[in-house]
Amino acid sequence: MLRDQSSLDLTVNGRIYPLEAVMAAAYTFLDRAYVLLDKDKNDVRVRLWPKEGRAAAATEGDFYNELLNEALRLKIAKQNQQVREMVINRALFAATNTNVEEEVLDRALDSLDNLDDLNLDLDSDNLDFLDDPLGIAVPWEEKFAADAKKKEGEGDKAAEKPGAPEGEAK
Amino acid sequence: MASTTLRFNAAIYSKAALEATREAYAEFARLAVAREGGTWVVDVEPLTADLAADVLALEIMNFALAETAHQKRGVSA
Repeated sequence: MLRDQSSLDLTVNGRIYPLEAVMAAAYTFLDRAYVLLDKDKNDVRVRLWPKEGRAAAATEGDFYNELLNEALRLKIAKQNQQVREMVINRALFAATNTNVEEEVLDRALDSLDNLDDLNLDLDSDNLDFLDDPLGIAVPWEEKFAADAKKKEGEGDKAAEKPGAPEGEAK
Repeated sequence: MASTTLRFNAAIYSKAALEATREAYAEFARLAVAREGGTWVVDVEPLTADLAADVLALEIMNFALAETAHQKRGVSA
């Protein structure tokens, strides 16, 4: 065939190096050599014509190294295929599932509406950081002191009534 | 003009790749693609005399391999 004298004929065991790896290695060699692939049962035959300025022996050695590199890369890619797919699926699912974000936004807007219902002047410039329009900062004892006194008073009156069972006012 | 014949194993090289090669080199050479059993036979006839037929055939061979590799690898290439 073409330039028979300067070509290198290599036979690659197809049971060790899959065709995909051979093809990938050949692809990376397109700038260094002209490559023709052929198949013979389980083996892949590679014919290389080194381009000008390339030593045939060096090209052959480099091709074997590249072949090993591609075969290993392919093997690792297959081993990690499930993990890669899972990570990508999760990333895509999180990016496209806007229902969760909408729900959170709706809840936030609802809570803002509730604040409006209270008619509080929260946006006023007069509001100081010490102001407490919702009464959040008032201690429990102060807030319910009046109620507790009322209950105590009612309890004393009930205890004074004759025939009232003990402990009922407590 | 002198033509060169290339033979590609059909188990490795796809028809689509060879068709893409034929289109890519249409302005430099006339390529006739035919199937003979498990082999694609490509006749390369350069359109101008200044192109060396054997070198052009080698370039076409590399292009066909690159196309096949691209198509096999798909989007992950």
